[in-house]
Amino acid sequence: MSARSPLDMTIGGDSSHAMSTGTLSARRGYVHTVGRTFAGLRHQPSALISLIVLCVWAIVIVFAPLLAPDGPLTQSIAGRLSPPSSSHWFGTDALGRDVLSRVMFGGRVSVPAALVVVLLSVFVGCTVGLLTGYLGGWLDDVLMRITDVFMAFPLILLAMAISASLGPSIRNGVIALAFVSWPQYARVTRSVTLDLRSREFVLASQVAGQRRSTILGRVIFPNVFPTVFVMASVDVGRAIVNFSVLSFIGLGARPPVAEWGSMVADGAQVMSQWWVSTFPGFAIFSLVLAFNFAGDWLRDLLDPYSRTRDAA
Amino acid sequence: MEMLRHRDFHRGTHRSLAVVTVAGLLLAAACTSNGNTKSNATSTGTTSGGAHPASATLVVAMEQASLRTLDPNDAYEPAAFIFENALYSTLVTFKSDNLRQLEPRVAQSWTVNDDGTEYTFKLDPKAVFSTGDPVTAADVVFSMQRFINLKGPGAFLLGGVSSVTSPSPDTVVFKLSAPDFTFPWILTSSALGVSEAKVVKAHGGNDSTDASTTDKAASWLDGHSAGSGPFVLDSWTRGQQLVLSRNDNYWGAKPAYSKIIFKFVSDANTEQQLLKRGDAAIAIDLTPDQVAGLRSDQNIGVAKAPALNQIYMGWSAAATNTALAKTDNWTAMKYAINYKNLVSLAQGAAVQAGSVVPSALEGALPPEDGFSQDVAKAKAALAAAGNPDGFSFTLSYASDETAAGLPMSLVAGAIQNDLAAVGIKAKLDPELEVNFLSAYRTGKLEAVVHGWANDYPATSDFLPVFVPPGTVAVKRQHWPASASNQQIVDLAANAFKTKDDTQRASMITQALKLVNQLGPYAPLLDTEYQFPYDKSKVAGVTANSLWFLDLDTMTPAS
Repeated sequence: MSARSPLDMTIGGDSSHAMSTGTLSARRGYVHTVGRTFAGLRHQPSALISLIVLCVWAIVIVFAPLLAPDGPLTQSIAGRLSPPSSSHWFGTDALGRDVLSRVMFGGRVSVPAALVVVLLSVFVGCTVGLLTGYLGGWLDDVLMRITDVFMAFPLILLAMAISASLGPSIRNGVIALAFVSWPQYARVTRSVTLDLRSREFVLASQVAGQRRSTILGRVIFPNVFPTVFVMASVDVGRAIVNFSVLSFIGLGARPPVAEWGSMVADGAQVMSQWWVSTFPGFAIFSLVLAFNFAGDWLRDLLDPYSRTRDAA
Repeated sequence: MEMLRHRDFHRGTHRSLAVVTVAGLLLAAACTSNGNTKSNATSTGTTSGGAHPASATLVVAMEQASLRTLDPNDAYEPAAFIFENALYSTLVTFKSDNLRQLEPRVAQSWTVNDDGTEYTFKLDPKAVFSTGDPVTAADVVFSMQRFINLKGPGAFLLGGVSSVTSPSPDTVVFKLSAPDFTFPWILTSSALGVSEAKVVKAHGGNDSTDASTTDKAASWLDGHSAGSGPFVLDSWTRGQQLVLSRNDNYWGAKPAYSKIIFKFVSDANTEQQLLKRGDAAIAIDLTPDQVAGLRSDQNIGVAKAPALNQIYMGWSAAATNTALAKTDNWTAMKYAINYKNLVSLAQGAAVQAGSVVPSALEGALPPEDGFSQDVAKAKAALAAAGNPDGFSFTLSYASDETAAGLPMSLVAGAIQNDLAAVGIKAKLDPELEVNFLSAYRTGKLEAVVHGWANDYPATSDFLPVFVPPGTVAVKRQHWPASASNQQIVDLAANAFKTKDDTQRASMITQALKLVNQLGPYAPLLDTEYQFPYDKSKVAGVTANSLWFLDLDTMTPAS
């Protein structure tokens, strides 16, 4: 988790030019573009499958209380550690709780937590990035050195330290992860903003006498947004993994809450009963992979360069 | 008193290690694709069968314990006890199948004066050190004084001793500051072995009052031994392995194994693999579930002994939480817990606790005298307390603490569920053991699930701490002496000043019955050690409550 992936670098740095024009053109041909992209899904099985997986997870998470065969906390000590069977499709854990139900309910913790982490870090990161990129000067220097400090640390290590000092809980885990992941958004937003600052339409707004807040919010931000949005969609997957890691080491969700990371940790205590850790592990795997592929697809949707390539 | 069980401490703190191990195991499984290849044992030094008993080697797998030192007068880690007991003979000892009977070791006999304040031990003239020199009273006095003056973590054991003297070369006298008719049991602790004064002194050791700063023998004692036990220390490579060799000058029955190799591994899963593959003959730290999984294997035997690690739920008697401070609510909790479920969770590693003292010890209550779940009674008690809909409190435990391999997290998880069934909401608060203990010791926790491990196998290591003015009762549970518990306080205080065994036991029993009734404790589980071993390799495996295994009586399987 130490640095941004090459994918993010591309989105953040090189394609910023394309972004501004891309958004302008996307507005014009919005219906056309969306229609073509969804039609193109047929030729992108990975994107199609990932979208299906995401939809299935969305349904499972929203309707978990209706779909789950059992409560996430219902114990049956007599039937503890029983292997997958027709009555317990995913088996039971060390306290005789149904693993399938816990995996379903676990999504109600991990996914919202990951979404909040990403939303928080996008909010903070974009604000900092817009301000530093547009205003420059000492503010830019100070805030960018702060992001440098953050990015010099292995993220998960920093998150562990923050989470441990705040005291372990879901809320504090989310705060810790948001705390360490906003700098990358700040970096990307800043670099896009720097580029946009000298563009004609921004200069025009300035000449027209618009206020700084209006220029930042109405003129620059809409052009930064697609870049950040693609980055964020991939990042949700990573936030799920990071949150699970925190829970795995006991710094996220508290027992007896069903949460994937802590379920994997429980399973590591009873390795001969593979089903206890495998199924929550698979839940993390499927969702993270789906978010990554969906992120790729979103980039194609919003990035005119790759769209042209597809069309050609 | 209580010990931080370092070998267990390791488990939860580094869960990431478990992940690495998972990966390692998968690799290992891939490499030995044809399953139980027991033949590769020879590569690790295990001699199969009893073909050459004179040079037989035994391999024991043990969790990578934070073994601090092997200095016989300083070491006080449970992981050290197995080695200390094999290297250094104590004055008296015991066998775990009869925890009421003291056995002679270096001392062949002992007497006590009428008021229980002076013990006289006669040494066995046969006893010699591994150097061949006899064990004298001066060596015993040196060892005890060095133990006291090094002020190690176990120093409290001899806190009640006012002097140790040697009126003659074969006689040692212990004078106590207060009467205690169960005192010799303390001397069974592996921390109180006798070392050879001459040798320890030659390597920088001393027993003066400033020994804790001037004594320099520890580094030599980490690589050599100076005792009269059945084994001598061959080598100790920290974090990797420890090798014991047979003491050829041993004055008792000589051990069958010429070498015992302890392989330190990172966790219980690795131990299980070593045992299954035949790379180790005995595994020390398997969880009850892992042991249960091995039972179907015809080649695996399980050595058992009372672990004397009593798991209890305790709550603060003077909690700021007003509901928790009501004694009717205590009754509700005691009857809300499904004790049978807890026993089945333990998978053979525990029976129900009859009281806060393990049932194998003097005067303790049998499992039948413990509580049994009675939801109606619990609800009636809640109503009587004025909390018919239940109440809430925080239940703390150490996420990395286990007792006989049983994790506290499981016990706490099951209890929370039971309490919820009658409307009592326990908010689980797992902590790392170090943090948990420091908070609990300073009385900051509302309620706990915790195991009280023995320092020596006697009731005096349990009862006095759980009743006022004991540390657990007063400091941790905020349960000081008062008019309502005066009878318990008196019984506990006088029991160990009572010379007559029967009378003493009945006083203890009476006190424990009252503690069950009035105390802020729900005794949960009385744990059992289970050490699985490979029957095709080793026989005569006997488990011990304090030092895990009697190493001298094991023999290669024929």
